[in-house]
Amino acid sequence: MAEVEKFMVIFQPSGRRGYVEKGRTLKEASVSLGVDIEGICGEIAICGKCKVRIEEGEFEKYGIKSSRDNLSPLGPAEKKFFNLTQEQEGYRLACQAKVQGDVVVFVPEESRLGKQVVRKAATERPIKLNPAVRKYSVTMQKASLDDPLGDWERLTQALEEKHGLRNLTIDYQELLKLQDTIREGEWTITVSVWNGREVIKTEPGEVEKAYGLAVDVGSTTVAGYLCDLVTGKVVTTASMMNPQVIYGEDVMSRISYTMTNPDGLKILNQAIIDGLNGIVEDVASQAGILRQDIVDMSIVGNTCMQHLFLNLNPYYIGRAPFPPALHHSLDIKAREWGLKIEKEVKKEITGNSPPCQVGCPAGVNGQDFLYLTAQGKYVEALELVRLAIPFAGVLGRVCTHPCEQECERGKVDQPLSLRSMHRFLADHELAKGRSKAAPVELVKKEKPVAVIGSGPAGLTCAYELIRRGYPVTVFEAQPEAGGMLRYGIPDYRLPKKVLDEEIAFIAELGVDIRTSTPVADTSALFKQGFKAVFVAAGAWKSPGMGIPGEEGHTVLHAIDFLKEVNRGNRAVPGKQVAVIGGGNAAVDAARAAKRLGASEVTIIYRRSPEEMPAIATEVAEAEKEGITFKFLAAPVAIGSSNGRVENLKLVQMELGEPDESGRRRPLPVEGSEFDFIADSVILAVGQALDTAKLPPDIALNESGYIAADPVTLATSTEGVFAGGDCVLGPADAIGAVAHGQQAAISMELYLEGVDIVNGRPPALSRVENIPKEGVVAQSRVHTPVVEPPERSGFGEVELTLSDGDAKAECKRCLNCGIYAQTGEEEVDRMRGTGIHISPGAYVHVLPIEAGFVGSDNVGVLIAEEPYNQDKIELIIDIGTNGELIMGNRERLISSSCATGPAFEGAEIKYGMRAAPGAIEKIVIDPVTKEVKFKVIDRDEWNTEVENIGAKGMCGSAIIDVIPQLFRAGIIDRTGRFVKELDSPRLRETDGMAEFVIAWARETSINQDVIVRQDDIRAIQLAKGAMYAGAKIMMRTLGVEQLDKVILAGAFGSYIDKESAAVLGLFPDCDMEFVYAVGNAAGDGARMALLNVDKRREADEMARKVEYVELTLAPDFDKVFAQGMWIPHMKDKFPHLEHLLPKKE
Amino acid sequence: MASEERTSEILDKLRQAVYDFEEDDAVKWAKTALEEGVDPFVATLEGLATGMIEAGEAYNRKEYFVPELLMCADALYAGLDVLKPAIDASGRTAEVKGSIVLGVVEGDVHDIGKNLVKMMFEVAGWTVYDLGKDVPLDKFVEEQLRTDSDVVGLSALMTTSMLAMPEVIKRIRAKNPKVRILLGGAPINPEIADKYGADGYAKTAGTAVDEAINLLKMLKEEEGRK
Repeated sequence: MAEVEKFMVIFQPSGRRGYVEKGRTLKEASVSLGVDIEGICGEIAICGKCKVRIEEGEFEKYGIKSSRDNLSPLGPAEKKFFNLTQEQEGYRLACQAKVQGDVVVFVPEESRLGKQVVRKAATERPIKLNPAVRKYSVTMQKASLDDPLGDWERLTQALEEKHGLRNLTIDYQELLKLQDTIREGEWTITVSVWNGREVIKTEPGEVEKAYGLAVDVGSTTVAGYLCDLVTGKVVTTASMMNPQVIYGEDVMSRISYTMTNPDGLKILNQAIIDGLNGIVEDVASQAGILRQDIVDMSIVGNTCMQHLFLNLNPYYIGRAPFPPALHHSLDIKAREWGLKIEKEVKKEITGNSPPCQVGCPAGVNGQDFLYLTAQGKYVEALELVRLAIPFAGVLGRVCTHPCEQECERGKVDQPLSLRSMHRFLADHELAKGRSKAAPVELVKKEKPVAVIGSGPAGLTCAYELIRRGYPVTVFEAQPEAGGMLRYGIPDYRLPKKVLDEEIAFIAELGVDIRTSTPVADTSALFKQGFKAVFVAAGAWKSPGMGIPGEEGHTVLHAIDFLKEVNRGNRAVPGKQVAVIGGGNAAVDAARAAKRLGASEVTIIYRRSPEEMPAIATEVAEAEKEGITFKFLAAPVAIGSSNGRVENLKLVQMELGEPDESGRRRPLPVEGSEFDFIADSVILAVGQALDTAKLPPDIALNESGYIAADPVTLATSTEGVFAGGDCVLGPADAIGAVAHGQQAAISMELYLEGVDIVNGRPPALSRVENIPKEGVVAQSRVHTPVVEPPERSGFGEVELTLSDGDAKAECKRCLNCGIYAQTGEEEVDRMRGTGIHISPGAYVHVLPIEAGFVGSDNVGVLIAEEPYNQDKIELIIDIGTNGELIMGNRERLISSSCATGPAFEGAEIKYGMRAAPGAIEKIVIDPVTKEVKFKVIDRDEWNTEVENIGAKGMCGSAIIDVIPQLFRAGIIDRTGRFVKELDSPRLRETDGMAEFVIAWARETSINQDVIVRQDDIRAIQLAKGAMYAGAKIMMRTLGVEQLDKVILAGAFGSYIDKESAAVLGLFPDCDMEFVYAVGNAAGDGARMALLNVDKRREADEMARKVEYVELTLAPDFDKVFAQGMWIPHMKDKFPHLEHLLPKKE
Repeated sequence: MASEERTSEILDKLRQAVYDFEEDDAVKWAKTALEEGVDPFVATLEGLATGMIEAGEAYNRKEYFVPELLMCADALYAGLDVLKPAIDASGRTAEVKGSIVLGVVEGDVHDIGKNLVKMMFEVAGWTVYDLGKDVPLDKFVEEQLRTDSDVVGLSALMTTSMLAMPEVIKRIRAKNPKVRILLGGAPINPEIADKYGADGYAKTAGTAVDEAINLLKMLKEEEGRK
């Protein structure tokens, strides 16, 4: 059997990866790799919640080149969820994109199902309060003619008198605001003074509260602690995944990213500055303060992070001898961080879709297709329109264009001619000849659907479903397809050729349109094998007015009249024609009658011109053609003799209160009847269902239309949906098209067994407050029309735009959408523009000790203060890079060892970061070899519940697993599985021994969570490096025994210290003096924030700690190798005797 | 002169001593071999070296890991120290199977893997020119030209230093297109080796020798066809 090709798929930021069979979707890959991606529609590209982004480029670390081309091409079903920008950025739906090569997939926050649990809580530590920034309030004597001293001098004088501050300077930007601030506070002002030297912020009046932010930038996690600078308390904490994770998991791979990608450093720097601003935003909103209320900040990170957030080239720290750009601490103005300074962009811009798209009931993205049209990419533009609708040519002529009402350009001068642009594209295609559409592959062969009615609703529904692979049959009672588009709209507005072409296009895709085939009832359709039915039969009956004389021969109904005309019956209805009504049907009928030779045509409407529902331009054209209007009049009787209409009795109307349609209700004026001469009458006063032709088993609503759910369009009969005129009553074409789309969504959800309410895509939200400064008014291009003298018969009145006009028109577009995507574009422009706290504030960057002992380790140092102790202390900062400090007040040394990301879950097959579903604690019974474990966010053990939903193991479980396997005799002290052991959990796969921690039935990924021999080896390497570091340092200091061990790091406080000891993370020590202290680096950052003395201490101690390069030890190999055994090859552990198995 | 039976017992003990990383046993049985007149060449190749090769196989089977392999090496060298004077005194030289220039590329100081590879090559009867760690790129080129080695082995542990490999390969090839280049180290995989233009990749020390032998075979076949 041929083996299926497999490719590497890496999900970020979770870091889960694995080989995935060619042809699997990313969603399937995510399930098998234990990555949770949102999705409620059942992977059928309806809900659009599984958006992911494909990263492009070389990922040396993984040895792969990720490319969008390594996935199946973006299909139309997916395409409509993305605007052009997202498309260019490589967005895909995970449920649709199929693996065809190696890819790195970024899962954005909103698409992630379980959120990361960040275990970097602040720990309680006593901190002396002496912040670098303090606030001082003073009230000054108001300036007067007697005392015209300058504002700044007046302020400094007052500050010196009241607070003893001397020799102050002021941040230049704050100086610019000073005069106004002083007066706004009526000569009382609060200044924030940095280090007793510089005024960095001024506020009117008295302000007591002062906030500072301490940040710890880890390779994996960024944590921020918002502190009250007055009380020293932590107000709130925020944390996030380091956004650089997608560019490499450990520091080395990030450095290599900057080496292999031209803009690498810029990208990484911007990513972390965005991340820092995310933390700022998060803590500020949690605390209910403004970002600018934060007046001080301290930051620590490992050396690589420090280079990247300072935008310093990390190349040289990536290679021996690993020199950093500088060791010193820094104070950098918040506003100067990053690359460039730009003004703050208006925040009130919200929403994520251009107004035209939101305004279009069918969701056509006007902005994007105009953008393409402007560049002359007519084919692509039309393709884009067709993602939403099949009727560019039809709707480009007859649409009521609600999009234009929404167009923001309308607020400047006139909205874009969006309707004409649709038509332009369709005409362009028609002119150069349309190539036949390729039939769609019917992947849902087993689920055929039926559509009753081939009007705009029915055909749109068919168009949607066929593109999704369902076989569709459309049943049409009339001899030709098109419904009202064909039989209701005269040729001068919509030539039949245009309609024919677009129907042909739908048919070419594979829709089976059966004309002259009325359907008696829907149950018969189900019996024939159809699995769902859409009823879009229209409303073809004129209800009439119920007035005397209505039954006369020459009283016509618009709907019948237009149908006859459209069938080619060109008999003139009369000489003097009265058309009753104010809708499009009335105007169409009137203009058709005129064209047929009527000498006088009058439209009689019971309300005023403003209330006419007909398209305004159509009304205007009708007027041009000599049609007269009689407003505020309604017929009460039709007088006739010998079956011929002779006159109409009309009554004058007046407008009362608004009715439910929002229009003012017309009321007859008593005694105002008058006669109106006419020899024929056309009634255009609404449409009703022709119930005789409707399937009998469908319930109707009060208005006599089919009762259908307004959202899902589901009827009273299961599997039957209804839309268009037969539900809405006479509506416009675009409304019917939208119904067709919604019905298709419902039907697919229904057919796939997904909830038809919850499975729907979310509504688009309109971008608001589009800036219009500097937009020069320019009218829309004039859509050319044939003027009345040239109009002949039923020839088309409106013409197509010229190329030049079309392009010019497109350029009027304000591109509202660029403010969308939740402001991402804005974020882009804001990138690298400083840390958004008080702009004059300084960010204090703590110093670096040595190449790979960064300011985060300095944080640990000043938090633990080993330099104030007599005991020999070992401090281990566990992370992707492990750092060690050892010594006491006499002498302190530090070293770093490349532990790799094993403890963070990477490089371990079922390793994962701390998130719901991660196993965090493991206990193995030494006798039965059975496993008990706990997962994050659950209180029970796995043995106490049905399925605890495990997904993998996080750091604390990874530390647990080896000691537990070892104590249970499942692995020996070399780390090798004891193969002779008889346990169903111990087995061999592809030549490698593995042990089952969680059976598939205890997981949410439906696979056994195992530890492989290779996983154990990876952990041994990491822990061996730590142990070796400690040993060599002990030798350097000349000590035999450790008095105290401190475990710090991201999961420091979650680590089981006994597990760490038995694993052999450090040499023997009395367990009573082993402490897990949590994120000491973050605590150190907090101390430096709250106490300037700590900053000095950090500077001093960072220089004092001696760095030991471990690899220089001549026997490093041996020390390292010995440290890999459990707990060690040779060393004795008197303090662990009770925990270690007896030697055999 | 030891009997055939006794000789094979001594060889087995030497092999076992290395495999079980029993340094003292290796010394003890090496001495016994000399005392009882076992050919020191045979004692080395069929005793100690065979044990090391078996250890390498255990490593490939994932039964042994780095510490065990290093300890096996200690036992091997302890035994060799005993046998070496006798080998030197005999004036004979062993058949050389091939030669390799080895080193960890510039900017990288992690050399445990390289050291293991070196030992395996030695055990397999190769001549190894070890350049050590943090080796400037041109040093590889010079050393290969100087020694006319069959193979150059490049090692890197860090992704950052790994990036220098294509450049070294290019420079070596420019001078000597015939030489075979082998890559190793944690961040390397066959795809990267291929992309960088190397001839081979070895995941572990044990497979490195096999890989090198294969490369040489290919080289000879190519030459044979010409």
